[in-house]
Amino acid sequence: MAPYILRRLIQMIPVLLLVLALVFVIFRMIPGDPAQLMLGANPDPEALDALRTKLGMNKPLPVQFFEWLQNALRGDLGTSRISDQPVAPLLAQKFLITLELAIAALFIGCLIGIPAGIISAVRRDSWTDFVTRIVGLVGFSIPNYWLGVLIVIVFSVRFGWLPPAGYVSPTEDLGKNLRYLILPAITMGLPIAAEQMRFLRASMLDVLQQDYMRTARAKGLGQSTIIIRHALKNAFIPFLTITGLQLGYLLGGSVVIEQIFSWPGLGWLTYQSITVRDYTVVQGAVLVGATVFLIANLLVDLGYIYLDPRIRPK
Amino acid sequence: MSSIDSDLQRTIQLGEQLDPATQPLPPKRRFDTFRKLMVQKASLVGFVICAVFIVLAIFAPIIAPYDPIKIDPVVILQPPSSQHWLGTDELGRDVLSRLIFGARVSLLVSIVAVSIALVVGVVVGMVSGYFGGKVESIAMRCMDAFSAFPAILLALAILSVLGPGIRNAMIAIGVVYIPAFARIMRGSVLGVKQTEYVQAARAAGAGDLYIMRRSIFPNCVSPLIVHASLAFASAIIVEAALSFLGLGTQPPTPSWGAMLNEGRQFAIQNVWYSISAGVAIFLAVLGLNLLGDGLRDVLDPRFRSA
Amino acid sequence: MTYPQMTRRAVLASGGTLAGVAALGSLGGGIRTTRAAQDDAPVAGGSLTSTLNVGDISGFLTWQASTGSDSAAWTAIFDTLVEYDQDYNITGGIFESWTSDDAQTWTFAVRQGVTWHDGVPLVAQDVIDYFETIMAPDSGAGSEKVATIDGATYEAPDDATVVLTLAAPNAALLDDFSSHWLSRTRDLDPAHPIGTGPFTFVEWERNLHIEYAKNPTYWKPGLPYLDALTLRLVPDQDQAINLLTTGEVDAIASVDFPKVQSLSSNASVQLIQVPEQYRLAYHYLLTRTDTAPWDNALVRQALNHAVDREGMLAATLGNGSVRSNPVATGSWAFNPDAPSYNQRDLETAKQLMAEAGYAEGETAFSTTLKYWREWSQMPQIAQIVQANLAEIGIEVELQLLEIGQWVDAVQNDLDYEMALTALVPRWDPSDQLGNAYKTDDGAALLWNNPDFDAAFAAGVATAEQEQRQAAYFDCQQIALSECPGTVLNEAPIFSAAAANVRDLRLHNRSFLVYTECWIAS
Repeated sequence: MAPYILRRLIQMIPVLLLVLALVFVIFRMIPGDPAQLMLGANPDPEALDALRTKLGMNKPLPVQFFEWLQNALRGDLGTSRISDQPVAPLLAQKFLITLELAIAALFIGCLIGIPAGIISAVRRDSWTDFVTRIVGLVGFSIPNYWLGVLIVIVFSVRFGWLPPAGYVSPTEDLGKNLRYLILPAITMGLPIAAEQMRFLRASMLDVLQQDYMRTARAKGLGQSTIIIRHALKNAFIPFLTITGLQLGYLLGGSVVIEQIFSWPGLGWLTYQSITVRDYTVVQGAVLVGATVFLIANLLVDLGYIYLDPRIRPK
Repeated sequence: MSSIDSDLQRTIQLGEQLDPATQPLPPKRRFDTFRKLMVQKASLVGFVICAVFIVLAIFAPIIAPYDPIKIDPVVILQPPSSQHWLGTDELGRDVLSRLIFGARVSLLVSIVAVSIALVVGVVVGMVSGYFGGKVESIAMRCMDAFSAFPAILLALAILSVLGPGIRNAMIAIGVVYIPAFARIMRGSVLGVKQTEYVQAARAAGAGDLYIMRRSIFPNCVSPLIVHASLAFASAIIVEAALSFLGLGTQPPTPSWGAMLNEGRQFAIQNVWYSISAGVAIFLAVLGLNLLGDGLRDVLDPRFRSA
Repeated sequence: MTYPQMTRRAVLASGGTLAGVAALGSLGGGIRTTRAAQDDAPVAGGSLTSTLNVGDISGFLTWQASTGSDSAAWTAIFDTLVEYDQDYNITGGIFESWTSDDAQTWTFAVRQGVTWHDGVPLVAQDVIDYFETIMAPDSGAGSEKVATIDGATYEAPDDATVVLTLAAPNAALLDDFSSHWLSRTRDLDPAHPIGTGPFTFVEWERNLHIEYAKNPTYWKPGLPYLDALTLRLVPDQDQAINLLTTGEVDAIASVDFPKVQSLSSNASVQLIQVPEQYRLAYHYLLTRTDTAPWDNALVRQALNHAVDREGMLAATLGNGSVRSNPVATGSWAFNPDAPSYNQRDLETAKQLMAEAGYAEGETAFSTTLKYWREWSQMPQIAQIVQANLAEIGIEVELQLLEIGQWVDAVQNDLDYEMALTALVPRWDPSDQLGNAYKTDDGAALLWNNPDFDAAFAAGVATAEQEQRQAAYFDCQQIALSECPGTVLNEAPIFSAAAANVRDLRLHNRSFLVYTECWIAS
């Protein structure tokens, strides 16, 4: 197992390097560089040049890239040109904020998605199944940000149950933190529930038709035992795949949802940094996002191996 | 999941799902597929919804009661009436007409974006799957890099470089979708490559190009079709989300995403302005998802949809 | 030419391009200002939470260019060198008083007894340090701020005096100084800004909020009233309004015009506006004057006559006021006799097009209009221009750009035929006119007119208001006949606050000032 993980980790390196090179090139192709944005209208060419030199933008691109890489290996991702903060701790802080929302969204997703998927599969073609599938499809097809807007109108503006937007650190006031968390978590969680329900139902149906299920029934095992001990366990493999990937993506942060709910996570910071050409933050954020994505992929594969011992790596 | 981020992601996810396990399916007669599809009620509904939107898009100038970009200061932000079934927008334009013409934009964007992804993805997947070795590992590492790059940022970056607009939005969405298609294609090719009839063709001295085109490609079509139908759905939402951020379709061209966002401001004056755009997006995506699910059931029996 | 509101920060930073929203005025009876309860005596204490409708501010380096949101965040901590009072007369700030005979050599008395937030006394050298930072080539100082003192010599003969000798006379210097926030650059820590202003800095958490506490030793007696101030970053305009109406925040920086009506009928909310005569913001259309077809003044006049400014008002839901002159009507420099295009005159427009050699009923020419969304109504304004010009045979293609691209294309590469933007000049007429019509090095406007330049130069070369007024009257006469740039209606700006908030002032450069704000019980 260990050599397999090691091999996978080594494989990540060229991919990450490619991603970072891509970031470097693409973001420097965007018109309007930071020096210009800082100086405003009609800048003095000399001042522009001096500022570019100070920001390290006058060096050739490969040199900039390798310097940044060198520092990044030492854990130094540079400083944000906006707030003069070191990027690494800034990203770590924002990542935790995004992580909280991601876990909450996934929790809500599982809370609704798993039971719905199981019931739907077990009571296949029943009235319950039909309704669940319709709701699932609706949840799967509705634009997420629109759902967010509607949820705010209902729960916040109309009924006043929860604040429409904002964030308080859980270490400062956990109660408030949770109040702010609920609406964005539901907005992101409902579509996840829909997707999980669809996947779980499909794989459960698959499993329920397998030979060993017939054997289990023939052995006279109770219906609930069959479902829980056998069907669910096997159906969980593809389900886990989709869930792991969902988490990987959630952790990148959602630009639109975070901004609508003023949830100051990774997605918002990155988007805002693109618009003000805060290159160091963008590069760091992409590094974090890509790493998380690749690790999520790896974990999914490891989970796969754990649950289904037939697929052992050579 | 349907925010811009998650939607790009969903497309990739599904690609990953299909990738390792995808097996080539025996060639099928097309009519067979269609008939099976129509037997399922759900996909029939999906098919009807999609057909309606396609008809609306094609015949928009005939169906729409008004010119969608004609400004009329006299009837600004009116609620629905017998003249304007869905009311008017902030420039006095007929919301229904804009919605109907908006179908064109959504359709165009999704078709072009998915085509870009499909063509590039198929070529990359075919070449790397067929030749293997260095070509494969380099191509697939590039694809890995593309999909590991947070999708939303990739799309935003491309749009920032090229500038906002419908054409660039199509390119951006297309580029983001490439890796998923490439993986699906490669997965299928790897399976088909080993089959007897490909071996036979090679033994008979057929050229690489011929084998790829004639022996392999036709057997890889099914998973591509399934994935493309779901990617269409996702592209519609992504275009809407990009327009929501002001980076997609530019005024005065009617776009559902832009209407959804602009209309939000005017919810007090004409609540249907925004809602109808949201419903249009939702219905189109629903139709494509239903159709995609049906296709998957028919073409790929291992997957059964909810 | 300068574009004061669009330096440094992309409006797109706000995500939904919802930032910096102009809502247009005169809704009749519905609008209350925070001065409604004038009779009450201010009460000290309490805290206030307000919003900034952007993704984030651009930091606290006050010599750099600023947006409206930055100005709001800075005004809480820093003092400006001089200030405008409620009636837009210049009054003392860091500089308590000043003298100048020729508008070129200025002697400023630095206010005494003022201390920085860390207890260090304010001295004249602090101002000199600030000037030197502006002039340092790699400090990234905003070009407008550099222009104020470029080529000048400055010294501090003692701790209480600054003597400044400009390269040329500039009657508008004090106006410039009203947007110079003084920070102590000598030992500056960007993460913990120190100023002399009404509030001390507590914390800036990116994308979340900026927190301030009362400065107990502020030099303005009795001020500020608030014990604490929080500015929350809320990029979504609708959500900011939801936060206000649900009582989560006490004030919001901007209100989109479609929301003005519903808010004005909400008893728990008050709308805040700059008094009409002091409003500065307007939509501004550039035409490229050095090449055909816009090199022909007749065509530019036709454009001005063809644009339906009244109709434009209807498109912003009846809010706002019609305007074609860059000088505010309330300014002493406003020339009532200069050509006005407030009334649409399609016949004259067609006639002018014919005179310019374009046959009626045919397409005269096709052109492109590049714009960006400083304000949410910009797409509508652009589309009305497009529709209006179609009636005189001009086909306009619209191109919405992101701010960086707009600056690159229009300002840097001069790659435009028509360009739409937003201008928020400063109060001095030299800035109101200069913003609209002056061709400086590297400006997007390419119009050159020796008569205008001479009159403009005369306007800043003297401190005598009568002479300045005569010069600016000439400027308006020339520019509004030649029409190098087109003013498309005033865009006054709304903020809003909870009903119990008092004396929250909206500066005419569109940011909220919290210094005199207090909360009624």
